[in-house]
Amino acid sequence: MRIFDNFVYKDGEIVDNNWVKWFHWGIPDEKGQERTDARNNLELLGHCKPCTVLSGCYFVKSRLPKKQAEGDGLLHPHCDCTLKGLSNPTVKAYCAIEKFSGYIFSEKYADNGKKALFEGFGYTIEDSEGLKAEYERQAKQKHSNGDYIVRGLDPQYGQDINIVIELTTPTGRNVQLISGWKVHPLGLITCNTPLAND
Amino acid sequence: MKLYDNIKLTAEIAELAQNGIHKGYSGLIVKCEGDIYTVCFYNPYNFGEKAYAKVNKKFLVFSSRSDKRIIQELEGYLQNVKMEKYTKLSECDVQEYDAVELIVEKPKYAIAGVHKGDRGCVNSTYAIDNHWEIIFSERGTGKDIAQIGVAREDFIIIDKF
Repeated sequence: MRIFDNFVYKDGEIVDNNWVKWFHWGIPDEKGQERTDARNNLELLGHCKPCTVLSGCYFVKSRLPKKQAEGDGLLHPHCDCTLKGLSNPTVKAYCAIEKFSGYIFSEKYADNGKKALFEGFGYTIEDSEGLKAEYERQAKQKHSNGDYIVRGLDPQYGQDINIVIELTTPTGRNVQLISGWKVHPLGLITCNTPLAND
Repeated sequence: MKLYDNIKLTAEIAELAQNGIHKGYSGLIVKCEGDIYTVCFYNPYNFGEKAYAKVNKKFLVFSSRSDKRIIQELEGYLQNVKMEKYTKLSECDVQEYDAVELIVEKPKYAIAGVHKGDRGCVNSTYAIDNHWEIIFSERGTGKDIAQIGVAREDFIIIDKF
């Protein structure tokens, strides 16, 4: 998918880039104490946790978080959330180095087979920085193009998405790995796992 | 500072610490009686958990002002809340990347494909309603079974990060 595939044109002009921002009243977009305070207060008042955590997050209209229950409202009946159009969404992708050095290549998790899989591709723990950079580069590009899959999870921590990462391994193989990411406000996505379920 | 402002606790106070409320914790001022404020403290390690406590305002620092609409809702909410029911916060012994094992067999986990004895990695820096986000993987295949919230009492930490 290319970035222009999401655009809507009228008379040769872009009228909609199909990106929207999820919005719940009372919650600042910027991560920080003010946002934490607002979310805590709204949670105290019984407002839906997934709604408040999604506020400020960017999505392509055709790839929104899945409704939790039928009825009016974006996520659930009587949901306070709305969608706001975005003119120039900037997307950032961040993968903590520990996702490789402390998880994929860690002896602690070796019995889950991910270490063996990556080592079979020719990677070692010394490749963590390079893998992190490549994952971030591809995730940013693909997310910008709306090329992601919304996972059908209850987004209490935030909406999870899958992004396919394509690698040419040191052994010369071309592989596609499904990675898991979490959507944060203001266009940020962070890596949950470099190798997710399909 | 005034009623319905958000604050932070600036000191470790023994009386509050024994109830799990520590220096640096955030809260909401819900009552002002001279220099003594009643504060609803939030557990930063367990979103959704709260405890009400009285504290001298000299131990508090302003954090942020609440949205007007939130204040309107608070005025109604606080008339009916039984603050004496919420006096303690739980202590946190879990951190991101801890290796854990599920020690119970429950339908809510089994429906996601996760069973007693399955091992996973903590994927969150805080719990929500005492549930931690954990990624469980199949042994040997590298495939993730599920990424689910697990109640603290339902897993043990087998290796700290």
